Amino acid sequence: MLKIIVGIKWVPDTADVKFDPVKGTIIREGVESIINPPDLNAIELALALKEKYGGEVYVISMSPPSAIKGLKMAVAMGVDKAFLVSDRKFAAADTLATSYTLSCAIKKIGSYDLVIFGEETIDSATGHIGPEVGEMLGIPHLSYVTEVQEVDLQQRTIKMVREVEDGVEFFQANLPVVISVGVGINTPRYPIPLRRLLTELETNKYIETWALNDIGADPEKVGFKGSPTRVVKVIAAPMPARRLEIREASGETVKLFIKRLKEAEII
Amino acid sequence: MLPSRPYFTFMPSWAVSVFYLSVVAALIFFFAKMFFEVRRYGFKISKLKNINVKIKNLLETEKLLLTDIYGGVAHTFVAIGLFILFLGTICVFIEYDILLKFFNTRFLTGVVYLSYEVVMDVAGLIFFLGVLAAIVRRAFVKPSRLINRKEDAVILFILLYGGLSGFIMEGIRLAIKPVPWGSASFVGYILSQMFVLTGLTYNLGCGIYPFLWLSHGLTLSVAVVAFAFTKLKHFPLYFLGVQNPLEKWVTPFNLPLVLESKKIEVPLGVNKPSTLSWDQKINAEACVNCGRCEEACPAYRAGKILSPRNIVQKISFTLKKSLNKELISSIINEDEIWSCTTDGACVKACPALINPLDYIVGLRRYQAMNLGKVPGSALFNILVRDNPYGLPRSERIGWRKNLDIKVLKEGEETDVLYWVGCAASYDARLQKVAQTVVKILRKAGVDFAVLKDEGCCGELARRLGDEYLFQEIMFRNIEKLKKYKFRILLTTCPHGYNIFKNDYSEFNGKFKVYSHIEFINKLLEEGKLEIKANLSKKVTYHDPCYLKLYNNLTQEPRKILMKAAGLKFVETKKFYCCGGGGGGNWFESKGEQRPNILRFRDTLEVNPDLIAVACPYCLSMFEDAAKTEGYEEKVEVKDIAEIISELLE
Ligand SMILES: Cc1cc2nc3c(=O)[nH]c(=O)nc-3n(C[C@H](O)[C@H](O)[C@H](O)COP(=O)(O)OP(=O)(O)OC[C@H]3O[C@@H](n4cnc5c(N)ncnc54)[C@H](O)[C@@H]3O)c2cc1C
Ligand code: SF4
Ligand code: SF4
Repeated sequence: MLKIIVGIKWVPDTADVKFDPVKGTIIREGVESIINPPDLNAIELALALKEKYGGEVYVISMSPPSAIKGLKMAVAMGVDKAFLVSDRKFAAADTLATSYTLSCAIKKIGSYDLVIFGEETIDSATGHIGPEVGEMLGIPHLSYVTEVQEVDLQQRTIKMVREVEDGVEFFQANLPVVISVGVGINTPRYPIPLRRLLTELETNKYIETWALNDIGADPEKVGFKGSPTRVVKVIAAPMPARRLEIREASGETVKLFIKRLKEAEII
Repeated sequence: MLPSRPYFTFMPSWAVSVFYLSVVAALIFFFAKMFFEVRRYGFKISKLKNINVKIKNLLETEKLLLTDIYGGVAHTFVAIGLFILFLGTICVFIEYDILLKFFNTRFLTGVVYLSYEVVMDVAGLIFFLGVLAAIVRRAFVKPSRLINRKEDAVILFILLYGGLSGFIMEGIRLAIKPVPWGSASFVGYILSQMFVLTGLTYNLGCGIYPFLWLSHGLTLSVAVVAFAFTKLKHFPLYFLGVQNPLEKWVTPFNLPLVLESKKIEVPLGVNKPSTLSWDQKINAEACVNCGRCEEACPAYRAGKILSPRNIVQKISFTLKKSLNKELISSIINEDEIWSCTTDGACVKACPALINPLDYIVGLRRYQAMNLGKVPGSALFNILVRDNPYGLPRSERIGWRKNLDIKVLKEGEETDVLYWVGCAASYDARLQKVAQTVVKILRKAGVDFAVLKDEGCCGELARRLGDEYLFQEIMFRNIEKLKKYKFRILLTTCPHGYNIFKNDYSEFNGKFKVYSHIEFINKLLEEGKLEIKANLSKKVTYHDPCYLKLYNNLTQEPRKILMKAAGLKFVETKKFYCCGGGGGGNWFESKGEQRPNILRFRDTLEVNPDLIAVACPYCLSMFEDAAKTEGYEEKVEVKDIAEIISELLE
């Protein structure tokens, strides 16, 4: 029996987020939020491991209450229970405060074998959370995991693979561990519609909300107060627009494609 | 002597008793079997509805059968012949067993009797010819869609023997005991003359006759039983079942009610025969395995694993054995249900008024709703970004960036509200269609607008079986649309058109929906648009299933094309779906060939320069086929709107 906790973040769909170059701010009005897409890979891995070894999968998210929508989706995918860690005092947290809050919530859940995070978020993309939470929980952590090869429930060990640019790395660790998984390592399953509907009908059965007091966190270490990072200025750094669309693969287009890649100094 | 019907000539009384007993037994068998069977399927007499409509539809059904001349004529002959012979038997029963026995009177005398004999011989002849034709067809012609089973041979033998023995009997009777009016039974009379010529003696005739008579009588009883035990039961079941029309999809729940009561009945959709509705069960039993549905099926044609006939047959077989057997995987393969384009050709082709698609959607619904099993990522994209492409929501308005189109504000009014649809909003090629429609509307001076926040219409979700997502989207859209004042809801996508017209309307979302083709035709007829130039190209038209099969909208596009191209408009010889519906545009199912390629080749048969379409999916499917087949330079594919737009200057 594996007990797995997955951290997910409720993020604005950055594809719709526009930058206001004059004010130097991000325009988020009317932008729908989604589950941070790499976190879907984390959920999928957790569910696949549950199918293989049995057990339970929990999801936690430190987010405003609107994230309930995302948590419902996670439950619909097959997650057993979701915890919304939400409190006004958590607002404006940097990665340190976020990791602290999440680790408090994880401790509150109690026993666990595996904590899985996404590689990084689409709205901040630091990739800090996984390692920081691992440190705070005082257990091993590994980032960019591409495959979990085997979990030995007797020996309480896990074998993992990480594909890096120039090779493949194999790891073994003692449970519990914190891992963050590479983007696109699997195809997230479709949220089961009936389960989505049931989550809607009986939200409390599947989703629990925890505030500061519930997780026993130190008010000084959360939110703005607990965040040493300060954003001084945000600037838009324009990237040269490069867009090439290949719609078919005839000999001609392949030649053209290679020519363009050379022109762009990609090869 | 007044001509009258002779009864039981040459017959020993024991044979007559055997006959009566057999008829009574047969009737008991028939009714008991029918009774227990339909009761097992959940039929109650209170569910018997619209018998008059069904009787009226019988003729329509026969007309449908005649689309295959040979099989159709054979069936019609057998059916009509049998029906008249049945009425004749009823007459005899009334006269002999009621009037003569209880009232000592009769009516089959004189001219009435002679006419009766003529009619019966004509009916018998028609019946016999029909049976012969059917035998020749099954034994020698062997059309590919017919699968011969033992049952077919048995039925044909019973029918053949019944007809043959009847005539021979009549012949013998008239040969050994001639009557002056014998020639009224003209077939029997000719036979009697032949028997006389071959030297049939009175004694021999008397000897053979009773056995022939009894076997004929017993054949009748066997036939009665066959109407309950073999595929002949399609006839009685036709009256008990309910036809689920193609365009009206039955829904397993109503979302607002579910959310209010916080209760939902599970499972949703079809996994075991027990989860079929009573009428779905009865309909499956009525399948005669004729394969007409299969012949019309674009998926089957392309060598996919799906055949609607097999779906219905497999369900029918399983149903008989057990109501609790899982259908998916051991009996019906998952790939079968996902190969369906939901075009509905099978529904339109079935003479037994069965809706094979209804089962397929039920099966899909179970897989999708309860297990989350849906192929492709289109539904996930809709769930997250409200469009099947998975493109950002903010890009939806990209197609109208520089067009300065009126965007409706809440409470504001417009005559025509243009619902663009995901395809024409997001796909670069299809955006041109939407832009052209705008150009045409402007040219005709139509007061139109678009929504600021149009979204997915939910059609794909419903076709793929995610009824929850569909209803979420639909109720959101109905609420949204009701905030605005407009007279006409205009669509460019037949899938959107149909879902608004036939599905939303079932949930209190009634709008006056127009397809762009319908609307352009209206503008042309009202003189608001004028075609000023003639199309110089040879053009053919491919009907979108969701206009042709679901909504019978076939005249308008033709009127437009006739106006535009005159004699240069040629019809494609047959009709098949392009393969884009029911998810076909979003994921490819396994199969030897692709439906769009085959359909493209169909259109090539008439050598067009231009293929006119009226659906974004068809446009994509045809352009893809033209490319794959190397016709990109030779044949153009255009929406009718695009063709017309060029001729208005
Ligand atoms: C320079 C900078 C300044 C910032 N300033 C502010 C600020 O002033 N105010 C403010 O509100 N935010 C601010 N943020 C955002 C905030 O720090 C991060 O959103 C948050 O700490 C998570 O970090 P991340 O998004 O980079 O996550 P990553 O470390 O990239 O995420 C890795 C994984 O951790 C998990 N995860 C991430 N966040 C959560 C969560 N909340 N709950 C559960 N799991 C999670 C997910 O699985 C995710 O895939 C700032 C970010 C940056 C980079
Ligand atoms: S709806 Fe179309 S594709 Fe589906 S089974 Fe019927 S004919 Fe075949
Ligand atoms: S479903 Fe209809 S068309 Fe298809 S085989 Fe059965 S009776 Fe024939």
